[in-house]
Amino acid sequence: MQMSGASRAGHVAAGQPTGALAADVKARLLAGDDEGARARFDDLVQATQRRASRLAFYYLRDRADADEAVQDAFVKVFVHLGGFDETQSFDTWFARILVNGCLDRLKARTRRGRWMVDTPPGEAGQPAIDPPAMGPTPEDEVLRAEAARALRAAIDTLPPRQRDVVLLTQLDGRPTAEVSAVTGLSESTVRVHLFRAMRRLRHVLGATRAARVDEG
Amino acid sequence: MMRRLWAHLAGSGRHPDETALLVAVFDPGDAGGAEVRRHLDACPQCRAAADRAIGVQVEARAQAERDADALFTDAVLERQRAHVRRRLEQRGHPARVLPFPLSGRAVAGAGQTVRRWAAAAAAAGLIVGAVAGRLVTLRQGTLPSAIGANAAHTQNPPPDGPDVPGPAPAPPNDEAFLVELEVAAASPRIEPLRAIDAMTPRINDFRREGP
Repeated sequence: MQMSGASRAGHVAAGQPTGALAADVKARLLAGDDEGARARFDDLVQATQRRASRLAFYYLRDRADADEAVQDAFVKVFVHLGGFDETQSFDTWFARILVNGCLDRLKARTRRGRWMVDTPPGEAGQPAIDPPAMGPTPEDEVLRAEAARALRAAIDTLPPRQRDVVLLTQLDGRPTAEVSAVTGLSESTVRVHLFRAMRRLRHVLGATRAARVDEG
Repeated sequence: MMRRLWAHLAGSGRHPDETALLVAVFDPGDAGGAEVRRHLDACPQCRAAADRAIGVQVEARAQAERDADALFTDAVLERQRAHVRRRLEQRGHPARVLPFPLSGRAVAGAGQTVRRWAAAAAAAGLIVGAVAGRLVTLRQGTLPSAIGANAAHTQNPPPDGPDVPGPAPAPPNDEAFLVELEVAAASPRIEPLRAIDAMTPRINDFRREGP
């Protein structure tokens, strides 16, 4: 399973785990060293911001919105870091704050959508920049890329809870136990949502039955 | 619930259901998928199907990361970090209130010149109005206008007269005002306003239509 690679990304800055950085910032804050805490927090931001920006963008599909959501999450984390329980995972705690912020923004966007005219398809909800060209590749890779695009489009159509679980497990690379902590759902509920999502996505995930029938 | 589903979907001696296969592949921590994973080790067809699904999922993640990283470049992330730094530095400080002209200028952009002219025109109109009003007052003594007469009457009571209520103030003389307007309307500089003026009802129109 490929989750561990993405899960590792963002955990380490200059060789120091984010949990240790967070603990250092907290200690400085509690000691009244606000300036020192901000300086160390900058390292923590640097260590986590890329993954955070990706996750926010998966949710919001808008660069400016995702950027603001990440900034808000960092500011909120700094403000509440004094009460952070160091026995817990900092990444999970931070992801929970970020995801809640993104969900709030999505709700606000839905509310605005009730009163404003929708933009034509392709202008909103799509990346502002096309993915880089892959160059000449074998046919199977092209087909897989097409299927991947279809999968991402299909993820957007999932019900919110299923979408959350798929985004966090499959795109952000978190194990279900961590997704449980981030979403506040029990682990078994996360698995049920993942199961239902997979049932909806199975056709875009490689048409497995058709392939087996052909081969069998 | 999941355990019963697994028992049903995984079956015994049969290919697992597509969904069960996908969940077993994409959620390796789920103990219920162990039987399916064992099946994958023994069944090349299902293994190939699982590998295809994994390939799609891996590519989807790579695409998603490429899209996000194309937008969140190092420069953008540096700006993001600077914004966070600034927000944290300003934490606890009262918000800075910009004076009106500055905030207007910051927002106005291309319309700045137009707004400045509008403000200048409004100010000029105010000054002209004030000066004109002062001139009318000054001319009261020389022009035989009703306004002057009425004003003199109300503003200059008999200095040594008995302290009795004077006559009620006369209603303002619209005629004199309208004369002034006629004179102003005759000016060639406001020719374009003649059409509007023609549509404006005169006081006599109201008098004629009165009860």
